[in-house]
Amino acid sequence: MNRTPSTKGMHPARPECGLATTYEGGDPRLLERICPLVDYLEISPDSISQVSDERCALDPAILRELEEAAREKTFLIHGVGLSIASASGYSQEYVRLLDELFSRLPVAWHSEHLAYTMVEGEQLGTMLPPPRTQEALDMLCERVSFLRARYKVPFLLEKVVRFLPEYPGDYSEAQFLNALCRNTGCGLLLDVYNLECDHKNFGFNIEEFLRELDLENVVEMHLAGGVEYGGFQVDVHSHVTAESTLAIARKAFLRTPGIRAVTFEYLKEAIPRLGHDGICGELARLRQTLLASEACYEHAG
Amino acid sequence: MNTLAEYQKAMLSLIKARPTPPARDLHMAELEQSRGLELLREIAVWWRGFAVESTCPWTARLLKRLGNFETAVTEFYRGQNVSPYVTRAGEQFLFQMSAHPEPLVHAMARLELALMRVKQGSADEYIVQWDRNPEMVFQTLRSGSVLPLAETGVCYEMYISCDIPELVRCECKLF
Repeated sequence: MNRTPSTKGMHPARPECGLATTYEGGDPRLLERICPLVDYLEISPDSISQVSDERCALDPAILRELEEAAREKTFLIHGVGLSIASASGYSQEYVRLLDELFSRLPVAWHSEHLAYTMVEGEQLGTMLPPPRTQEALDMLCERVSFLRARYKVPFLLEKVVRFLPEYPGDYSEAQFLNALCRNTGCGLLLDVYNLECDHKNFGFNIEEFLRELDLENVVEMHLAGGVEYGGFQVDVHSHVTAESTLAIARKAFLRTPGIRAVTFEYLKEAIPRLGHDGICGELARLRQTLLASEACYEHAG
Repeated sequence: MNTLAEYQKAMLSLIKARPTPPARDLHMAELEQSRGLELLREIAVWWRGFAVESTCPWTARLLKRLGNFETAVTEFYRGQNVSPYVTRAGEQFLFQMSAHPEPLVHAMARLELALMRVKQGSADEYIVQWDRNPEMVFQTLRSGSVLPLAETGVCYEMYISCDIPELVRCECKLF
């Protein structure tokens, strides 16, 4: 990994930060191209699963492909379907998928969106953040502790984009995340594009959020690009990272002492649009423009 | 909001556009009026449409040709507990479309559903009846030309089974 010399006045020591990208299986030519460019592959259990006989299980063909890739790469699991913030209970089906993945692949850590996708077993078809109340916090802490104990690797939570007015809760976004990390020992996945969406859609103050957030809890950063639709910046990961997003990422990156990976995230459906060359070009760009500065960062204090 | 559970139940009704009593608290009233709510509903339907297109391409193509795709997917999303897993969602959609009042749509949905089950390992034989030549239906869907009309005095019976080479065969029967 390329490193630049430490800059005077900056904190000198920092864990190695790798580059990661999404891989959903079934595209061996893409895998062959991206493997030499990344340190980790990020997989989503939901996307590599299939249903047969009313039971959801990991796709055996994709699993074999990933096991082959595991000779060279370590995996990051990034889930969508856990629904950790559902008051009526999280998805047991998703936990079964996690069990299977952990038993088959080397996993550095796993993450999930701080959201609910189902209510009393019924799918919403979208992802909503929980209200930041004491009741929600207590429930989430219990669940995060369960996941940490079960899998014995770090567990990260990602703040999701919101499209609706917020419920007047007991905590600010940063305070809520800080309390979750403090109470459970979990880490954070900072999706910079999500922050930018909230900024464009609701005037969310990114700088204030980053100032209030305990940035030492950030373990992974997501970068992506999306589109504007219906007057909203939406979190479809269909484009390369915009310069504006990268500028926020650079600032945040320099203030996150514990960051271990930067991940370029894209939807499988966007691959024809991005092209294999486009994805590889973006990975090279991120390594050069973001990770090259990894040895010099501002001390979080 | 009294509890998190009650709040989330209200959110489910709101997102799925189900009839609810008038909002009693200010926050729910604000949500009902928000531009973001329409967007979330639209995105949710868009994703279900994508799942349908990828798992049941012919039924999706036919519904688009008939100008019913958006409506069918919206009703499907709002009325059902649609699985987050694409193949299961596709199966649920085909099951719903199998009861569609338009004979062409229900024949196509039954064919794709039968094919899905056979490919999943079902040993059953499925029979789908068409009121017009299915070969012509596929041809016109491919080419973009006008769909054939229902024929009188004839029925096309399609058999779908893992025992059939290429899984499907069709017989034309005269009344």
